[in-house]
Amino acid sequence: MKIEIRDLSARIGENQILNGVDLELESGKIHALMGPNGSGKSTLSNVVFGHPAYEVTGGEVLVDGENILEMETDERARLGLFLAFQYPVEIPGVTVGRFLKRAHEIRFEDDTDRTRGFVKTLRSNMDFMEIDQAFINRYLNEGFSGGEKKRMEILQMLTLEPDFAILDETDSGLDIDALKVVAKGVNRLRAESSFGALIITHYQRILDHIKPDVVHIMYQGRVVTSGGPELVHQLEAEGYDWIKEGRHEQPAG
Amino acid sequence: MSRATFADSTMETLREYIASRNEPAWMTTLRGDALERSAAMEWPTTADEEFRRSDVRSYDFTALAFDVDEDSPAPVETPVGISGTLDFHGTSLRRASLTEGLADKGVVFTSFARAFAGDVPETLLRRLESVLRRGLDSADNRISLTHYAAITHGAVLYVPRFLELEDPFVVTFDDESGDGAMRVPQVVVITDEGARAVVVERIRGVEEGDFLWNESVLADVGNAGQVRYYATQDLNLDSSYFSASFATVGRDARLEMYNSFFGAMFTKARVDVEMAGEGSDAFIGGVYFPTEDQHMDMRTVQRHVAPHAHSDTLYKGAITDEARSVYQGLIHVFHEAVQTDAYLTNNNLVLSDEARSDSIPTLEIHTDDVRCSHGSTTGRLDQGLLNYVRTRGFSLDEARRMLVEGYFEAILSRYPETVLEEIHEIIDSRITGA
Ligand SMILES: Nc1ncnc2c1ncn2[C@@H]1O[C@H](COP(=O)(O)OP(=O)(O)OP(=O)(O)O)[C@@H](O)[C@H]1O
Ligand SMILES: [Mg+2]
Repeated sequence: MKIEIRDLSARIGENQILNGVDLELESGKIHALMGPNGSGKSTLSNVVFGHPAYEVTGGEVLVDGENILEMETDERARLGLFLAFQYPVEIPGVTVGRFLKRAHEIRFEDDTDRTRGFVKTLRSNMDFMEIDQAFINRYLNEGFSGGEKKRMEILQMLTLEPDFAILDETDSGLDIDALKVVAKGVNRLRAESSFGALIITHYQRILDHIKPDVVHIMYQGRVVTSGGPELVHQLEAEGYDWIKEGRHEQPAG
Repeated sequence: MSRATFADSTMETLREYIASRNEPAWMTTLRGDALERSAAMEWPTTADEEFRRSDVRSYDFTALAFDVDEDSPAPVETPVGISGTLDFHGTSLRRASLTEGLADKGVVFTSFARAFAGDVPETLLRRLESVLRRGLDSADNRISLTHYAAITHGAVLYVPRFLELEDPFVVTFDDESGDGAMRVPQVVVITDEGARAVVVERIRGVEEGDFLWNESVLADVGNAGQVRYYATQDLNLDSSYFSASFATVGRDARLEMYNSFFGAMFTKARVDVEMAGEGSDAFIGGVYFPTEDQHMDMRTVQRHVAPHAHSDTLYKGAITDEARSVYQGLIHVFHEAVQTDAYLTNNNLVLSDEARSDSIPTLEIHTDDVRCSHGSTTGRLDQGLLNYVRTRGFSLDEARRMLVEGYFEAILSRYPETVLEEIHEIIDSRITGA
């Protein structure tokens, strides 16, 4: 799967947040997206998924050549896209098992052998993610700790097996063991399929466990530079001043 | 088989009807008393607080034809996991079953007509009288008084001391097509000390025809006993549904009383639960989901008479299209009811721009040393939740269905499997239409 984001602009109310994002993503590759708070990373994820609060004011998002901006959110998901939310919501009265069973049915509706094996799949994925089986009967995210919610996002990802996922700060608030488990989940999909991901993060540590192929940096609603993993080290060492001051635009010397 | 038909429901006709019944003297007196009291009152108007938002002036309550049909029950097998069944068709009992051995243990589960025809012991008739009396005493408007004068059919359940029955007793009211007729069913549940029973009541009505229902459910939960009552009203949208139920909960006893309202163009339903014994405990649950231009007005009353009692009401509604819901809840704590612990919550989920919902919770407390609180919320389906669910591939309809079912889950998770499937189907059909 190839996702081409071209000159994408979006606003919320009067607030212009994305100012012409250009970004090419591909399954089979791990992309990292970094950038200071408020630079528009979550907004970009939401716009890619058609969140109704945001108005697209220009540009396009092509998935394998097809513009998805007119599609409903669920149609986009059914293309094989997945979003792990920065702030997963609580769904009152809907158990993890029931929710995922239906989501799994929708994702693999043509593959009855697979949907029939749902319970087994879910249980083994829970073991893999080191999530207690008792969570199957709990209401999704209700009363879960921050870390449990994040793990639950990755459990959903493993179960729905997307072609491409955006992980919005899934690493934030995770202890080191949980971080490893999350990384293990991503790496498994990566090993099993042509899975690709855009990992939005502020920290190097998750990228030590999930090696990115490309690193992008976002600032003021734009992807201002892209490069190899060495960009992460530069950010870790220098912070964002060199971006804010526009030094990244000068040819490396 | 004989069926008596009455062309209207004026005082004279009802008097004639009462005289025509072959019932014990006390029942005739009780009906007569109800008629006298109702004659002394006007029909409710919007000047009455309880009817302020539900105008019944367009009804001519004296013009309603009604009939009473003889019972002709065919004995049927009791389904697995069910204690007994009573199926009414119109006013006639058509099928009845009771799990083997229960009758020998003293359980009575029969129709009103058969109870009066000598089907039950004299002691139970006296209990029945006192329960009906209490129901009549609690009736405070002309519609519910008329109910006791005009009862046309119904069911009686009695469970003797210390008998604990977890399998539900199922009462079903089905109907045939008809026009402008009145149905006046009565359900009475009496449990002795330490007895336990689960009752499922289904009012299914008909495809066509505009019936007016005037129902009452009375429950008397004996000391240390436990009753769970699940009523589902799914009448057609031309019908009207009035009901006034009254329950007393004995010392250390527990009552769970659930109502789900789906059908009828106009619903006016009231549930009064009296915490009569020390340490009694009650949960009053309600689910309502009006669509199109349905009007549903529900009232619950937690009457705390005895000390150290606990009660909890949770009513949750979803309102869509141009429908309107009204919920009035009262926690009434009497002077003697020290250390009362009572809660009342009403949630309304408004699913369309034209839908409207009113919530009026009230406390009336006549003693110190109580813990009471009420809360109500009215809101729309959360866009953030909807979006989250849709990113997992759910269509808008499916996402709404999942969220609305989840919303009702706090109450429906307490329902027995036997009823749930039907209820989920009804809810699903309403969301898909919404
Ligand atoms: N619903 C909203 N209403 C108003 N402003 C919003 C809304 N969502 C985002 N914004 C604004 O858009 C800008 C970008 O926010 P966004 O959440 O995309 O940033 P981010 O890069 O994900 O930041 P962080 O690293 O803190 O998660 C911020 O200034 C934010 O205040
Ligand atoms: Mg963010």
